[in-house]
Amino acid sequence: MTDPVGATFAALADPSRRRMLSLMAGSGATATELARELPITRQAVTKHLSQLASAGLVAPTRQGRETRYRITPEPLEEAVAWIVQAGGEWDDRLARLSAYVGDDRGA
Amino acid sequence: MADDTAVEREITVPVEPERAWELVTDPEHLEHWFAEQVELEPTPGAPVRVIGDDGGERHGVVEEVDAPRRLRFVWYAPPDGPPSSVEIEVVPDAGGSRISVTERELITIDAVGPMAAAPTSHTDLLALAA
Repeated sequence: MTDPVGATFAALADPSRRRMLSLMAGSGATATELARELPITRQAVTKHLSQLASAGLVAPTRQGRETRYRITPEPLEEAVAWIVQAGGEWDDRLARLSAYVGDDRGA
Repeated sequence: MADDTAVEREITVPVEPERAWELVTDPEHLEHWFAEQVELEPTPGAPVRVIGDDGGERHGVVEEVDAPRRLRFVWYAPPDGPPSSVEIEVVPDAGGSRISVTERELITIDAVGPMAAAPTSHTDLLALAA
């Protein structure tokens, strides 16, 4: 796979950020909403959001007193978010399987 | 395009196919790599319940089993995550066994028929995706 936007994928090399992205598919989400869904603090969510934003993956929009984040680009967001999330999860799982088989064999 | 939202991955492990089959179907092994907690039995109709390292849950059901080669189940993240099917295949390979995985987003109501316990909100979600 040639990846002209390595920075984008680097931003996705974290399970929390991928999960945030999948939660934002559709109508977007605020930091508060994301913190409610994830086992991490609101402060950590905010930090992840700014990393996703600087990678151009999400864009903030003001909504009253809160800032709602949406995935960009809109037309592809659901498919992209799903593929990124599901693909990342399998990368993680198979890396663990590889390590497990290696350990197992050595034991 | 919508019906082709899929992710494919594969890995070769230095073990016999029978052993590889155990790695992908036995919860005792699955809990070492697949997820933190795994309830899965390679029998069609058996429930699938998975809790990941991040606390994320998946519920589903085993759809097809062709031991020791192929396992397919459908699952979703409750309460209303988009359902997808996961097919895991084990094929003998020069280096041992090749394990390939295909996860496909399901978009038709028919495709989620076996998930009787799925919340009704799926219907809305699937209607949007159609």
